[in-house]
Amino acid sequence: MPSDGRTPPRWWLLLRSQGLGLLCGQLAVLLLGLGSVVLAATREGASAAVQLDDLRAFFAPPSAWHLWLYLLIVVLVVYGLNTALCTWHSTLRKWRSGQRSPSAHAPAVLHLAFLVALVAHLIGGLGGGEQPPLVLTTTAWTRLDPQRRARLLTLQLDHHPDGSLRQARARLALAEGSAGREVELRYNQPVVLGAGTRLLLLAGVFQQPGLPPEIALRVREAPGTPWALAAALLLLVGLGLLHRRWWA
Amino acid sequence: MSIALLITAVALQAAAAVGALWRGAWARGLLAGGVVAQGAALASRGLAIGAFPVTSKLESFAALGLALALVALASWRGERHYTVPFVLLAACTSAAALLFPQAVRYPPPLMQTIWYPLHVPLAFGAYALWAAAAAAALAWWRDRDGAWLARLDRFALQGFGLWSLSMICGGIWGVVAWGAYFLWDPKVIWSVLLWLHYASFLHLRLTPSLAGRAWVRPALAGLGLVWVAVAYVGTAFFFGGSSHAF
Repeated sequence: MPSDGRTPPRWWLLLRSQGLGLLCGQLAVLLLGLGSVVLAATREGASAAVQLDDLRAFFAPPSAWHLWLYLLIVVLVVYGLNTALCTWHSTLRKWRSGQRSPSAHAPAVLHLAFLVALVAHLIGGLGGGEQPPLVLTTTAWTRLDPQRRARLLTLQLDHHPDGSLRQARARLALAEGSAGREVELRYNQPVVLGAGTRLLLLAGVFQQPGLPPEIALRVREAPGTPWALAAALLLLVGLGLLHRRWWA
Repeated sequence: MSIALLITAVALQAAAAVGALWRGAWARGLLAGGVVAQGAALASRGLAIGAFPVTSKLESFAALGLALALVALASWRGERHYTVPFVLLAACTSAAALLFPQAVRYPPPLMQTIWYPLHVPLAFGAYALWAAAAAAALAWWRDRDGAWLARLDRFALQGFGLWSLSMICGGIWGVVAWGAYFLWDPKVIWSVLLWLHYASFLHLRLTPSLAGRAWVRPALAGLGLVWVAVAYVGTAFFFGGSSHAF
């Protein structure tokens, strides 16, 4: 970083200029728009392996169809750097000029939320994944991973007046090493393991008269989730600090 | 019952748009009547399906129409270049709801969560405020009054706040339902796109190199409404394969 008292070089001023941030923001908008069209057009082809928030599928193998994403990553790296430098510079300037009220630093909190969200996407996109769904029954244990096994204990289904499924409630026995516990699983209520980095999700229910009930279970690695939660909290704090400007 | 109320709401909103051409104070009363009728229509629909009524295209368009009408009512101006297009947009959106199947359909299990009825109305509130920003941009192009720029900035910021809250709720719903806060899905991609567009927009006023170029903010507010239309209608009807039905 250039030291104080001298005129910073042009490249440095450019890197922390608001104009560059605006350019990156609008370039990201255009690339995301283009990407949504390309993804829709190549869903059966070059983008067939792209699932959920995965980033690795775009590189295995690299494809000219995914050029928009490669450019987007470059733009977001520059955008992130620009945001970090602008935020640092602005916060330092405000601090030195005696602005200590939390609301004066609301934009910095929002910028930090944006940077943490970028990190969440990177970690989740590169580290996330899951195996094909597992079937759990009441009659046998199913191995979830080397440390954990699960067995369905009970399955309760709740229906709408027209007979369509409203909600399902599955009670599972979860064995982790020598310890065991009971957990409840529903649609929109996964079992959360490892501070949110591993999720057990209900993916389907099967209940036929005369047959033991079964459920389909997704075991998903989601290492970006805690980071995304941190970004969401920062965003909430930033918006809260900004509330006076909402009505100004 | 709910359809009759919805038709009444559309008629009142259309009448309010026509009334606003003459700057009639009574036009605002018509719009308020339309808001009440539309609110009643959606409440009746919600009682019928036993869930928050944004689970089908009909309910979705009706709810967005209501959000637009509410923001138009709250931000009512005598200036017809602001009010008429905005109220007309609310009436057209509400009328579009009538094009979709009216049969009652119960929501699937993945919609049985608090995050869904938080996520969607917040998003519609943001859409409505950004539509207000575009209408203010139109009024600015007409008379070049700086007060419209101030209103435009405020609507854009308020919309950005609601959109951020909507994305947080949607992200949490994504995690509990699908195990991911982000999906490579047209609607979700366009949600991020909208957030970035309006985040950029909020910096325009503070960018020294754009000082003296007042037209940039109205232009980007108008472009923003185009992006909103693509995000709301385009991704549901023209991209295919979205996990979002609307």
